[in-house]
Amino acid sequence: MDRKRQAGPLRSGDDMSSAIVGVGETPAAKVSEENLESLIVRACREALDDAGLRPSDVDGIVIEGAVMPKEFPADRCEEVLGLHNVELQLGVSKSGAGVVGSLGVAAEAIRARRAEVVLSYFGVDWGTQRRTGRGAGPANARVGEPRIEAFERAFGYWPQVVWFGGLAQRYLETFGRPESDFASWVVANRENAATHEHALEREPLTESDYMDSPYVAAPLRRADCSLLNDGAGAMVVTSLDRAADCRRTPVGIAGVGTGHNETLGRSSIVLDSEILHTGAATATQVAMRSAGIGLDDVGFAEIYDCFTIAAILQAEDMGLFEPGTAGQMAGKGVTRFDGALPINTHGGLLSNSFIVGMGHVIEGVRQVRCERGDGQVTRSSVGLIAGYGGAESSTAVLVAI
Amino acid sequence: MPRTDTADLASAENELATLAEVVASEIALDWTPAAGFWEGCREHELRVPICNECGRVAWYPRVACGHCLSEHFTWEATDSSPRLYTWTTVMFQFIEALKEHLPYASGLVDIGIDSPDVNVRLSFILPTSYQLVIGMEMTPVFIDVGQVTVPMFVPTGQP
Repeated sequence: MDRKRQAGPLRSGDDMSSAIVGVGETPAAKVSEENLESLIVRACREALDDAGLRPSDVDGIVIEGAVMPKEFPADRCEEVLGLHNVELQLGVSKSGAGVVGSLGVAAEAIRARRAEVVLSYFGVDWGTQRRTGRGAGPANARVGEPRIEAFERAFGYWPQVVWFGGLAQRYLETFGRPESDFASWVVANRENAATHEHALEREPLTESDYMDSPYVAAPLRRADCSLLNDGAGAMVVTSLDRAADCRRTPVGIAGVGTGHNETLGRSSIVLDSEILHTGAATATQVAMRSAGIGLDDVGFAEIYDCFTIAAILQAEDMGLFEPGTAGQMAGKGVTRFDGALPINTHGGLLSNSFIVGMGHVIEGVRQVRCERGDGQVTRSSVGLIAGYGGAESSTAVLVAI
Repeated sequence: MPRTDTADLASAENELATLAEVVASEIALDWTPAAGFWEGCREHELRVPICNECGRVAWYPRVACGHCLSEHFTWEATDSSPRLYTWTTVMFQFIEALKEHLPYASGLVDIGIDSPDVNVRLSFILPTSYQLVIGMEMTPVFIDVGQVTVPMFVPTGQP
């Protein structure tokens, strides 16, 4: 396979231009009493309040480009929030890669003076959808696509958790590792979640509890799967100049990179020459080069963890751990909020809530702003935020300024 | 685990045939770009589309070649030795038609085509009685179910 994974076009350049100045998040709920619109409005209002900005200040909306435009498009957000001054409206990539990639696009738009205050949001009511039998969000993804209907679903190789079960099995066999590696990751993740006031799963989980969790697509167990819930998050990005006038300490967007798998589309985890590789390697290299930092500078990371194996593969691709060792490192406490390299300090999608990467960005901002209380990491001035979207990955470098 | 017991042998073959029936009922055969594949299966061959313009293998089947955008392909039989690429044991009902057959093993075989830029892999389903190890040789088994011939793969040497 001679085709190289390409660095994507999204990067905020060598000189930092923008910062996240506000974040907002509804407490996640397995099933919320509020509808999606209400959740998103609340998250956006909280983010604007956090920044000390008003709806009339917002002149750009940049959101994840696959799920959000269907569930809650930007023009609806403009309408319900009264964003009369929006001139730039963009959807970016897909899923976690889109949420994190939005930071790069927002930063570029601000640098190019196409916008000055950019709002980004993500929200889902997948908990409600599942409860009311309207499907279960991502679990029914891609039904009806001809490649999948002809070659995968009919043979039982579907849905997402099954594909990730295949990744997990190949990982364990390739590196000769035991399932307890996954347990170690999840146990540490749950310890992190316990420090977060909004995490849906805060009860301690032991390795033995993990092993009692039923298999869904072995070796993946229920405890390896993301939550499915209702919730929303939002963030406000603006220029460094404007950021100086905002209410809170700005968190710099020092670099954003994207990386693609060889095979675009969902089939990358079926047809890539090595399905254990994600776009996170290239995305992270580009982001760090852009930010002018190295791995030694990284104090913590928030990594999209739709399944345990997804987080492990990205963490290794990002260079945070040697291939095949992430679980062992988690078992030594490295990924705990008080460990040597804290990862998913809010509990991620596995234990906090599934708002598709927005929770990771918000947690990164709160860590850099040193407001995470019991879950505060020690080296908080540089964090990596990795978003995964199947065939595409994005990584952002957030820094204290 | 080598099988010697004839009852087990018969049971494994029955399970395989039953699963093939379910697969046959679920396959979307109406996707035109893949028609040549199913025609090949009816003749008990695994065929892949070769682009008439640039000679490259296209996989999955495509409307247009991913290199030259030609819409013309010739289907050729593969001369390969499929190997197990990965697998998982599915314990939970995701697919209505398979609910009576849980748990089952499902995964990917790599057909082993020597192409610089395409990996030809196919999904498979098996009863959990088979012993699977990534990299093992897999034998194609074509099971005729009415008008459809379902390509299945079993570990070579296991029934």
